[in-house]
Amino acid sequence: MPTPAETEALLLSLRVAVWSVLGSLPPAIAIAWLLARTRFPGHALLNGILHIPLVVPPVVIGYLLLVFLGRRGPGGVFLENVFGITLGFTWQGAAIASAIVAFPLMLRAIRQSIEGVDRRLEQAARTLGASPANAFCTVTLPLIAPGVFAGMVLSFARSLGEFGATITFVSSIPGETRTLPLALYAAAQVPGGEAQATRLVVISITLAMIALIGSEWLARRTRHYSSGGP
Amino acid sequence: MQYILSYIIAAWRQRPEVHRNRAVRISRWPVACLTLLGLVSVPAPFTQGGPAAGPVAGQEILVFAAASTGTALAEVANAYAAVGGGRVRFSLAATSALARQIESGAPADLFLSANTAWMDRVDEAGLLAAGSRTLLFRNRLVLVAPSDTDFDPVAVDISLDVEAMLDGGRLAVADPVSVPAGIYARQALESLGMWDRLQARVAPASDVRHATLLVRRHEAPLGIVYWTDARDTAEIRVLGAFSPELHDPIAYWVAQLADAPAPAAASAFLAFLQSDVARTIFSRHGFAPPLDANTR
Repeated sequence: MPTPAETEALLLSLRVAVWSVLGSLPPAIAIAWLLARTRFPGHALLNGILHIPLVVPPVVIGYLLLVFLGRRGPGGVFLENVFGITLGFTWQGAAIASAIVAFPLMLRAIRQSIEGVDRRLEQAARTLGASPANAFCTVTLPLIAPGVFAGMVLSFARSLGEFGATITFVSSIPGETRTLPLALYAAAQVPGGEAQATRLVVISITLAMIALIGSEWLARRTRHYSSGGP
Repeated sequence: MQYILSYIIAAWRQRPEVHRNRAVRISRWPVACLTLLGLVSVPAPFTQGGPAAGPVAGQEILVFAAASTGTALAEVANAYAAVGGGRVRFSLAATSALARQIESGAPADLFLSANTAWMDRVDEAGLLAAGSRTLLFRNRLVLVAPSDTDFDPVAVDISLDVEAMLDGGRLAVADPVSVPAGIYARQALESLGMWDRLQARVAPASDVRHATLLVRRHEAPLGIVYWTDARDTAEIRVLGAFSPELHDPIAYWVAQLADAPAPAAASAFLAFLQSDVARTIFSRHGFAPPLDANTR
C-alpha cells in the first residue's frame, strides 16, 4: 500500500491534472472554434503563440511563468492586487503550469475535429430555426465530442507527467507542489532512495494504465453514441 | 506514450463513417509529430570517441560540476584555453543529480562534487581513478534577500526569527533532503533549533542556482545559498553568514573518473584546477582554500 507521502503526491497529481484539464477545456473549445471557423488578422500568429509550449522545453515555460506570473511579474502583480491571489509555490500554480504545457495538445485535437464537421449540418439546423449557439450545442458539440475527449485525455496525460515547468515555477514542496514526477525525481536524488523511487514508478505506471484503459472504454462509448448506434 | 496517444488522436479525428469503413488515413499531424520526435531523439554525435590516444591539447573533456561552481569554472576554463589547454565542457547540476548520472555510466572525465557524502559514494562504487581525489576548496552558507528589500543585516544565531522575517513567504533552499546546499542548510537550521518550525516554510529548489533564482525573482523573500552564489548575483544581498560549525564542512572535491573517455586531457585539467591561476580565480569568486575554512 502507498505510504502517506505517496498518497499525498498521487492525490496532488490527480488534483493538478484534473483542474488543468477542466480549466483549459472552455478556452480550448472557444479558441479551436475561432481558429477552425474564422479568418482574422493575426490568425497564424495566435496559432503559433499557442503552440509555443509544444516546441520549447518545459523549463522555459516555467521560467516565463516565473517572470510573468511571479510576485514581481506583471501578471502576478495584477492577480495579487485585483484578486489577492499569489500563484508562486501553490498547487494552483502547478495546475496553471500543467495547463499551459498541455494546452496545444487539447487545442489541436478539438480544432481538427471541428474542421471535420460538415457545416451543412449546422446550416440545416439554422434553417430549422436554431440560434447559432443552439446549433453549436446540439449539432457541432455532439459531433466533435470524440475529438474533445481525445484532447482531454492527451492533456490529462501530459499534465500528470509535467515536470520541468512545475519545478521551475512552483518548486517542489511536499503536499503542495510535489506531484508524482517531482516526488520521483526527489527520491532518485537521495543516496539509497532507489526503493522509494521504484515504488513511485509502480504507482505512476499503475495510474497511467488505469487512465488509458478507462479512456479507451469511454472513447468506445462516446464513438458508439456519436455515430448514432442503437 | 506520446506515440500511442498521437495515434489515438489520429483515429478519433476521423469522422464516424470513415471509422465504420475501417479506412484509416494517416493524418498529417501525427506524422509531423513523429518526425519531430525522431529528429530530436537522434543522439547528438559524440564529440570524443573511445579511449584517449591523441595529444592532450586537442582533446575535449567533459566535467560534471556542482551548479554552484559554474561561474568560476567557466573563467578557469578560459584561463586554461589561454595557456594552450584543450576545450573543456561542463555539465552543471545538483551534485546529487550528477552523482546519479555517473553511477549510471555517464561519460564524464572529471567530477566536481559540492559534498563529501556524494563523492564518497562514487568513490566506494569504484568509479574514481585511483589517487585522483582532491579537496579543492570550501564554501559557506549565507542568508540572502533580494537587493531592493529593506532587511537589515542580521546575526545568524538562535535569536534570529526567520519566520517573522518571512512574513508568510517561503524560504528558498535547495532540496534539503538530497541537494548538498539544502542538506547543509537543514543541518544549520537544525543546529539552531529552527528546523522543526521552518520545515513547512521551505521551498525546495532543484539546485542552489534555482534557489538563487527564486530569491532574485522575489518569489521567496529569503533564501539560504552559498556565499559564492550570493557574491556572483547582483540582485541579491547577504543578510548574514552561517557559522561553519553549524553544519558539516562544505567541501568541494574533484576527482577523475576511472572510465574517463579522455584520461590524459582530464589529468591535465585536474592539475590546472589546483594551479595558482585557478586558485586565484576561485578565491576571487569567494571559494576558500581547503585549509582555511573560515576566511571569506
